[in-house]
Order: sequence, then C-alpha cells, then structure tokens
Amino acid sequence: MKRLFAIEFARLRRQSSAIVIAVIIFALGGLNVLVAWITKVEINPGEYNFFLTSRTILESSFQLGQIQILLIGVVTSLFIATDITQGTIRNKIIAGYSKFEIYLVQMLMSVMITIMGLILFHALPSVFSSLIMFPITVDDGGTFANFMIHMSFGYGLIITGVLLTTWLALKSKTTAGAIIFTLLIFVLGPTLTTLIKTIIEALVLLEIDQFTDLAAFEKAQADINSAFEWVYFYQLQRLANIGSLFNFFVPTRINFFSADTKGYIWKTLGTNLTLITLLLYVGGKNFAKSDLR
Amino acid sequence: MEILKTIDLSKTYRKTKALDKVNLTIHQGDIYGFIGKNGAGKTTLIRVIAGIAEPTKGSFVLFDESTPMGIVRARKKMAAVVESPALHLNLSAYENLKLQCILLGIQADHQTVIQNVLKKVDLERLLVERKKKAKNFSLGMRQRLGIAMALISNPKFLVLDEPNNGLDPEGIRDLRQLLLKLNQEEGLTMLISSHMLTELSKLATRYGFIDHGKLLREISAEQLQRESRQATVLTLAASTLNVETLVKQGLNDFELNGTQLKIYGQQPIQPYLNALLKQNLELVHMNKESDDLEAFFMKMIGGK
Repeated sequence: MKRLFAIEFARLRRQSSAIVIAVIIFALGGLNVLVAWITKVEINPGEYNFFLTSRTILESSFQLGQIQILLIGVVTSLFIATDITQGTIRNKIIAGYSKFEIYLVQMLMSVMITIMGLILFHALPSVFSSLIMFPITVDDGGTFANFMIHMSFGYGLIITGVLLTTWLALKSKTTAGAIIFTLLIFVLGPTLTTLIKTIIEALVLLEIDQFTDLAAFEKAQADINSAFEWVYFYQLQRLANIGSLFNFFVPTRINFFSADTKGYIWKTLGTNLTLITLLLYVGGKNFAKSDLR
Repeated sequence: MEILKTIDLSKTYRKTKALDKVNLTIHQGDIYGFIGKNGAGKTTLIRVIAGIAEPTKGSFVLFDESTPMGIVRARKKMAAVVESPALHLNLSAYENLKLQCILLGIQADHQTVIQNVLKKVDLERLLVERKKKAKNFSLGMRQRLGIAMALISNPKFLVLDEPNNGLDPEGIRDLRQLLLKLNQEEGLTMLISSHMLTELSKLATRYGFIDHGKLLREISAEQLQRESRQATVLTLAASTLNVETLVKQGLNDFELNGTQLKIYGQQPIQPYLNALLKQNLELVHMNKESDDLEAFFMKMIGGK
C-alpha cells in the first residue's frame, strides 16, 4: 500500500489541473480577507463594525465554500478518472496489487486531497483573521472546543460527499462521467435535497407551531456574540447545505446552539460513518469484482 | 512446468460469450502465439489473466497459484501490455519508468535499471530528451515504452497484446529479435496475440487458435509444420487450361487459378504434365510450397 500511495502522490504532483485548482482555492481564501478589509467600517478608534472581525472574515470564507468544495470534487474526480482512462490503473493490477487495495488507496487519496484543499482554502483567512488582523479574544476562546467539534462535523460531511463522488468516478470509468457525478453530488444533489427537506419541514411547521420555531431561530441569531459561535453557526448552515445529502436527520433551520442539537450531530455522524463504511468496504468489494477498461 | 493453465474459462458480456470454456496451457519457455479474428476473444482472455476483467465461470492457474490472493501474488512474476500501452501521458518516459520501479518495489538503482531497459527497446535517446512527455510520443515510441515498462521487472511470463501495433518494419524486426533473445537467453515465457501471422510465425513455438470465444486448437510449431499442406505449384505460359480437362483424367486434388496450377499433397505430377503436353501448354516455372500460418488459420476457422 505504501508503494501505491507513493505513486499516487507523484501523480498528483504532476497533475496540472490539480495545481491550477489548488492556486484558485488558495486565492479564494485570500479573496475573503480582501473583501473583509475593503468593507471595513471603523466605529470607534480600533473598534470595527460587524464587517471586519475575525468571525466575519472566516464567515465570508464559508460563503464561498460551495465553489471551493466543488473544485475539490473536480480535482479528486479528475485524479481518479485519469488513472482509469489512461489505463495506468492496469499497471497496478498487473504488478500484483489487489483491486480492493487499489480502491482503498484511491478513496483515501480523495480524502487527503480534500483535507489539503480545505487547509489551503482556510490558510489565508485563518492566518489573517486570527493571528494578524484580529487576534482571538478571551470571549472567542470560550467556544473554541465547540467550534472544533462543529468544524469536524461539517468537514465529515464533505469527506462523505467526496468519497461518494470518488466511488462514482471509479464506477463511471470516464472523465466526463466523473465530472457529471461531481456536479450532481455537490450542486444539484444538495439543492434538491434542501428543497425537499424545506418543503417537508414547512408542512410540519404549519401543522404545529411554525412561528415559535422561527422566532427561536431568529433569536438564536441575535444572541450570537462570540466570533467562534458566529462562525460555526454560519459555517454549519453552509456546510449543511452542501452536505445535506448525507445529513438526513438535521432540519434545514436548526439552531446549533441549543442543547438538543447534540442528538442531531450524533445521528448525522452515525449516518456518515455508515455511509463511509459502506463506500469503503462494500464499494471496494464491488470494485474488486468489476471489470476495468 | 505449466506457467498458465485455464480451466473452462468463460466470460460473458450480457448475452455475448466472449470466452466459452477455454482450456489453454502455456508451458515454461513457450512463445505462445494466440491467433484469432477481431472479437474472437484474444484480448478478453488476456484481460482476465491480467486481472483487468473477472471471469464469469471457470478458473485458471498461474504459476501454480489458483486462489484469488495466490493469483494476485503470482502476477508479480508476470508483466503485460494489454491493448494500448498504459502510460502516464503527462509524464516523461523516465518518470513513467521511475513510477513503475516504485510500483514494483525494485531495489536496484532506478537510474541504471531505466537506462538498461531503454537500451533494450532502443529508446536510449529519451534519456537525453528527458522532459519530453509521453503524450508527445509517436505510436511506435509509446509501444516501445509500454514494452520497456513490462520488461523492467524482469518478468518470468510476458503477455503482449498486438505488440507490433504502431511499429515500423525496423521496429517490428528489433522487437522480434529482442523477444527471441529474451526467450532463448533468459527463458522468458510469452503469450503474444497478433494479427500479423507471418511475423508471429517467426517467433512462436506453440499456437492457440480461438474463434467466437472457443479455443479451436493448440498446436506446436513443429506439428503445424507437419500438418501444413504441401503443394507443387506449376506456373504456365498461358491460362488456357481448364478444370474439366484435368477432372476427366481423374485428377481432383488441385487448384487452378489463371496461369497457376497448385497440386496438393504427395501425388505424382506426371498426369498433370501430360495434360499440359496434350494442350501444348508451356511450363514456365515449378516450385514446392506449404501452407503458411495464415492459410492454416483460415482453414481452421472455415474462412476463405
């Protein structure tokens, strides 16, 4: 397996599309910092309004998150599809590696590419907002643990999505198929899922007490007074949209600050872990039995 | 020792039987010429052995291994170029070979190994043009590089699917000499599928004929030689001789094609010469010939 990873990393380094997209992703992160800086308003000396705080910079970076995740999806799909379309995956099989082993390495490479992409994207916003422009205050630090938990939760959804696109890319065996599945998973899929969930929830709200719930939601927004609270709240709204395909138990308008959201998180984690296990094990066994081009 | 033995190996694509209970045996040291029309099942069999496709039914034994994991292990001793060479097109020849060295876990100095293998396939110039990417190679160069990648691990069993594709006449000759050398000096066993039967006949020590997924027959080169139909070919000055004249004289195992009269087998040619004399037909040339591999193959599949 070590040798397979070595090959994959060498291949990734030479994939020009991956390098171009990595630069774009990194630049998108920088764009958020720039936007925040341009739109800043100084209320009192050294005190900035809502538009220029560490949380707003990070928050705005998540607003562009969908583009970034789509780009990561494209890189992973292309990376996998190229190996199949050029026939180089055959070299691995003939060299005496099992198809299951090859499949696992491809899936894990997708996860690594995703994590690398996320790190690249958040590099500039994190450095500029937290370390240089607006250091984290004591108040912000109070919710750091929650922030990290929710970050992991959100990224878990992305990783599930990437694994699903990788599996589909391996099944489709063509570059075009891989790209189409990426678009379906990361663009059309979440939009449709969110739409369906919203309609169902609206129907339920009409039946029960929609106004109470909505008021609670708005109140939760108004009550946010910590950078990290604000960030993870909005981030999760964004990521939940992207990952709504794998986020079956979380309502679209959930208040992540209320105590009862923990149940949702565990359910979603459970769903995702089940899906990841299925994709890795059942998908791998299925791949091992399938014919390659 | 048997390197490969297939047992009722079958592969079905939807309703099409690409392989139908194929029982094929390749012994150590064989250069096995695998012959069949397009779509006969040659590539399918190679794909199954190489692990690219899974058999629908049946099994095979590779280097005495027959379990799925055993076969995966046994593949470390084989190399294959299936259909087109599997190259990383955005990498140079050197980088492609370097990756192959890593993949195969070759311990020796990669630079030396790569130099040697490029020399073998006459691609030494690529050591100078080190940055030239595989996507800019000609078809022949890609084919040679594919073979170099297969040879880099010093395999015991080499599988080549249409290895002469894209090669010029000089390249075909060089490849033949290389393969013969590897077979004779290193005892490399080979399975070669090719449409170029004349070329294959210069190499192969055994043949397997496949048609519509069925292995029609396996035969050694010596046996093929023995079974090939001998003929005496008479070239006449004019094409006035007609078939009826010869048939009336009780002659029937012949073929008349314009000025060329082919007399099959070991039958006496005197009756034919007499017939020519009666018609005052001048004999221009006479020679002996035997069926070539192509004719043998055509007879085998019932083609014309």
